[in-house]
Amino acid sequence: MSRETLKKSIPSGPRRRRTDDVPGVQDEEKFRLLVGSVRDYAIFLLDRDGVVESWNEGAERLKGYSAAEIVGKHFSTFYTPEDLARDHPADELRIARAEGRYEEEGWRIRKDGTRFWANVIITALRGDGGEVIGFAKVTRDLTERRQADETLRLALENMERSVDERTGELSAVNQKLREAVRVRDEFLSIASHELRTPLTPLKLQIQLLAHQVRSRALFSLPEERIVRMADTCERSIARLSALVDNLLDVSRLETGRLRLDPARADLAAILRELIDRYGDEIRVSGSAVRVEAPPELWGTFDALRIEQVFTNLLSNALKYGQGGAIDISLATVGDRAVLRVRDRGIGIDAKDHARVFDRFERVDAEGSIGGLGLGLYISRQIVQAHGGSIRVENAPDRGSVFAVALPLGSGA
Amino acid sequence: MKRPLLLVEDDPEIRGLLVDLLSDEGYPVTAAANGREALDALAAAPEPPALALIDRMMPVMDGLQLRAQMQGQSRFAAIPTVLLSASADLAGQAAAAGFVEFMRKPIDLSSLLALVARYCGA
Repeated sequence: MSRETLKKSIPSGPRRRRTDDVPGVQDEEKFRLLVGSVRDYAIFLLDRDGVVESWNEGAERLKGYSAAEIVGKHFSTFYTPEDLARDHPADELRIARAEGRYEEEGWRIRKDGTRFWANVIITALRGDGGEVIGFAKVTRDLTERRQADETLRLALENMERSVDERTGELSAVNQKLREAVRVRDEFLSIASHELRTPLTPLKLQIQLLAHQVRSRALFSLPEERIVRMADTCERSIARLSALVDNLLDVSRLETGRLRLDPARADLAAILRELIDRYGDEIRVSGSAVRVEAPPELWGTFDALRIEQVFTNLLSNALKYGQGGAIDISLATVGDRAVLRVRDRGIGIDAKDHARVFDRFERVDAEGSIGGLGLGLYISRQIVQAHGGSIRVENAPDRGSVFAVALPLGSGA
Repeated sequence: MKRPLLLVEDDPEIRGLLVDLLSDEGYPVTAAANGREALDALAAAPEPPALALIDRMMPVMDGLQLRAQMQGQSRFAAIPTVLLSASADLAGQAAAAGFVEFMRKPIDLSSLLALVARYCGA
């Protein structure tokens, strides 16, 4: 393409008086200077077939070729092998020829083989007769913008992902909180029920007492009857105290304030005293309690807390044992003391074996048998604080076996 | 002449005390520790009681199950029953199950005596 055609092809824009007045500098030259000195855009001419005809500073900076290296070469030099394989450079020229202009963003290749993300505009240049005589190509390097976009996109994706994750976590936490609230509500209702039950005889007894005092009937009652009234009150108060103690124990366990007071203690004696103390309950339950234990079994334990565990296991066996025989055995196995309590009652589904040691859980969720659902939870915490373990398994025929293993400790 | 009543309560403390105080008031009381025992007592009784006080939460057969059983037997269906429970808000459930009254524990002595007098005579 001659300089003459170039001048015709590219619109020159409004004339500006001042440069026009500079003597010796012609329009064409000024235009050449303008294009040549643009650094941020590669601006160059292609002939009808796509061969590079001119080169500017921006083109050299973007693509790495000097004018001497590239003028006369086909512009497909700048395309990736993938684009070459699909004959993309020729397509671009075809579209520019047909529509006057072609624009795209895509990967191009520098002289050193590195890729850059380019915005490319190819404009068809037409001669006086309207025939395409070549192409003007303007290329911008958008690699940084693309990287910034990509970074932004990744950041957004990451953010979305982490929002999703957090949402998931929050809904899981929410679910847990709901469950905790449900369990707590249920517990409060059970606790209220359990506290009200021993209040019944207490309240009736006191009202009856007042009634009998008013009607002057009290002292005509047999002495044994008055003693029984006092005993009823006392037992109700003991039951209430035990319930309140359990609630306090749970609160201590929750806040890590359960302190053991270990000392030399004889587990066999603890068990014997417990069975004696439970004589009445055992008789009422109808269960025969058989105990197999050595005369003495010494170790280092918090005797009161261990007694609490034994008491809980015995009272559960009586409560759930349905009057069947209860076998209790105490023995030394290696460096541990092992207590086993076996009942022949309703038993526990294997799937519930882990759950029964949880807080507020009762084997009988339907509620025909009362209780706070704290005994086994407290027991496990006490046993674990001693470095021991507690578990439940199904008895061979029917009922459950609770087994507690306690390290004998330094005092063994 | 005071008429007999049936007391169904698993808690020995409450059962013993109610038997004592109702007997002191001159009512013939039959006591049972659960629904099953209550049905046996009803079957053995020469005349049906004028009132049954029934605890809700009991092993073997609870109070609601007992009422349902009584409902199914013409001899016992008409016996007025009162539901006792330490749980709140059981009045609706009690009425739906055919109980004439719901009494929440701890029971109030004068309310109890008034109720018993209404059904079994003063």
